[in-house]
Amino acid sequence: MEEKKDIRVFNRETGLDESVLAASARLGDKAAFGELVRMHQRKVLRMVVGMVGDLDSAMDIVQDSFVRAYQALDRFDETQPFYPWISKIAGNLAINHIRKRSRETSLDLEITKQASANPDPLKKLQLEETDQRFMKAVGELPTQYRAVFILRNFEELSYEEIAERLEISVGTVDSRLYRARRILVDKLKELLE
Amino acid sequence: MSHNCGSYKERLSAYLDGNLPPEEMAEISAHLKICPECLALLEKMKRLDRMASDSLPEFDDSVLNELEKRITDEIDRLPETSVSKEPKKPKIIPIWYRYAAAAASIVFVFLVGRMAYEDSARQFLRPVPAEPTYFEHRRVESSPQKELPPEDLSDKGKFEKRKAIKEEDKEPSVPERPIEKVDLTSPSRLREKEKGMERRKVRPEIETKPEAKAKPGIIQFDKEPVTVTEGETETINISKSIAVRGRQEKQIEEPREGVPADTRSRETGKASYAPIQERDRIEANEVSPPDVVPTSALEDMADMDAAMLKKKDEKAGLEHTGERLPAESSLESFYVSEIASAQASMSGHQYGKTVGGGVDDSLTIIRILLKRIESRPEADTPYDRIISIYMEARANYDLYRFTGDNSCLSRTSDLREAALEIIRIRQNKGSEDPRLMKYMEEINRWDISE
Repeated sequence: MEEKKDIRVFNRETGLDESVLAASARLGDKAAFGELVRMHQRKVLRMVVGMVGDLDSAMDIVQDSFVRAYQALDRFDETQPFYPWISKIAGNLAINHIRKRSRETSLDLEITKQASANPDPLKKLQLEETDQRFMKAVGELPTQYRAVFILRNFEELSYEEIAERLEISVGTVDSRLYRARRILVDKLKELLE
Repeated sequence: MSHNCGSYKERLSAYLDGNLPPEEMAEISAHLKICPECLALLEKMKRLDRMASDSLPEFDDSVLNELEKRITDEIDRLPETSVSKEPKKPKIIPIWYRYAAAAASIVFVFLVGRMAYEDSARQFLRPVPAEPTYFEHRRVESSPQKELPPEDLSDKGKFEKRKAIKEEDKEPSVPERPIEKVDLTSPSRLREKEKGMERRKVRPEIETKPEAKAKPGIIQFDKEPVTVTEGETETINISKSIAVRGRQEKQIEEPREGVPADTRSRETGKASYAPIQERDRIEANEVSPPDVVPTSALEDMADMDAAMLKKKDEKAGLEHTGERLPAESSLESFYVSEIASAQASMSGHQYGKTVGGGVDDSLTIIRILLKRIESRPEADTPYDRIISIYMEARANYDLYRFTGDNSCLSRTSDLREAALEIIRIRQNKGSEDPRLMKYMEEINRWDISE
């Protein structure tokens, strides 16, 4: 088991530790929480875009995540880094979003057709064509595989951390990651040659 | 070599991440030297990983500025009280408070529910509305038998039905008969035999312990199994569970050989939901009875929580004060009191002649509750996580029972699977927590067949 890295973030301008910011925010200092938002929103948004494949939805989810985190600051352990906590909240919301969306899609084929006819939601991300194709392929992975792939490749979590996050066994992480990679290799074989 | 590559390929992903024991790493390294196919796959996986790190989207400052503004604006709109000023760890709430709140809610529900049935209260209840009641509307929509046969409203028929209903009210907690006892010498039975009719077997609905008067997920008003006979002496002892009702409808849909068409339509038209419907129609001044969601099972769980806590304290050598609320059960406790309040609201509205409003209020409360469960940001323990999923499933199931919304049913199904999977994992890891088994039994009892 690899050691946990201390990834607490310091604000370069103010020199404040995020734990100080979190403590201030809990006491009602909304500006301090705004600072936490600025420090982490980019990374959280990246992860969520990777999971849901849609910038608009991702922004809604990230917004919701930070608001919920603010409301639940009393549960946050200041001795721990902030990012894993907020990314966990955002990850759970993203998974819920994916589940709901897949349920709605399977219930109504018409909606699926309409959705596929809509402009590609990824285009707003200003990605290169290769990257767009990659993100699209990731977005099309089955939810269970996608979650494991994102957490491994975007969040760079260990197998054990992924297992803990998703409440699955390490063996399941291994097999899902393998399948996710095989599917992506098949889908993107032209790009990977 | 490719015909033997299966086991190697499956481990290439873990090999790439260095997540194999040393001997397996060496084994695969050796294989890669002689198998170009596996080597090619490994190279593609490596490129895929590089692509993943390169493809991470970068955002314009405008996107991030907009996001930041949206977040801070919403936080600014929050009232000051929406965030606690102090950390909640450890959370200490007097345990009596929790039980008192739940007990008070339950007693209130019981009293209001009873009052709605008392003759003395009937004068306050509105006449049967011209529009179908909420439940009636739902039943008509969901039932394949939309055209009901003419109702037997003769005095004799009324008398029989009133009598049956009164008997239900008098003894709502008659211990369940595990097996239907049929008097084979009864006149109706003999008549059937003579006519060559085949009596439909009714399976016991739910196996409940005698002391468990009611279970979450099942709304029961009486314990008698369905008995349907021909002609004038129709008996309407039937469970009023919405969930069970759906199952009974399915059973009744099946044509029974030997049963005359008129008799069958009589059953299919009324027997599947006869008690509420007949009460609505025959008791001219009554409305649909409130479907009280029982909370005994959750109360049991709360008791188990307390027992477990005591055991933990004793194991840790601490003096058990009986005042500490286990954090993982706070959601249960919240749900118990909220669902009871929802039901109280519904009953109160019925008493105040606003059935629709009562149902709507209940649904609103359950939806708020569901949102709160969904927004629970972090599961502190695996058990807490199981509770969260279970409660979310439960809330969806309750919503389904009230609304018949199939999307809630589907969500319940998904969450149920998730909960069961996690429970199994915990058990495979050696957990012998009896609560896990309790949840598993509980959610397996839900009738979520669409």
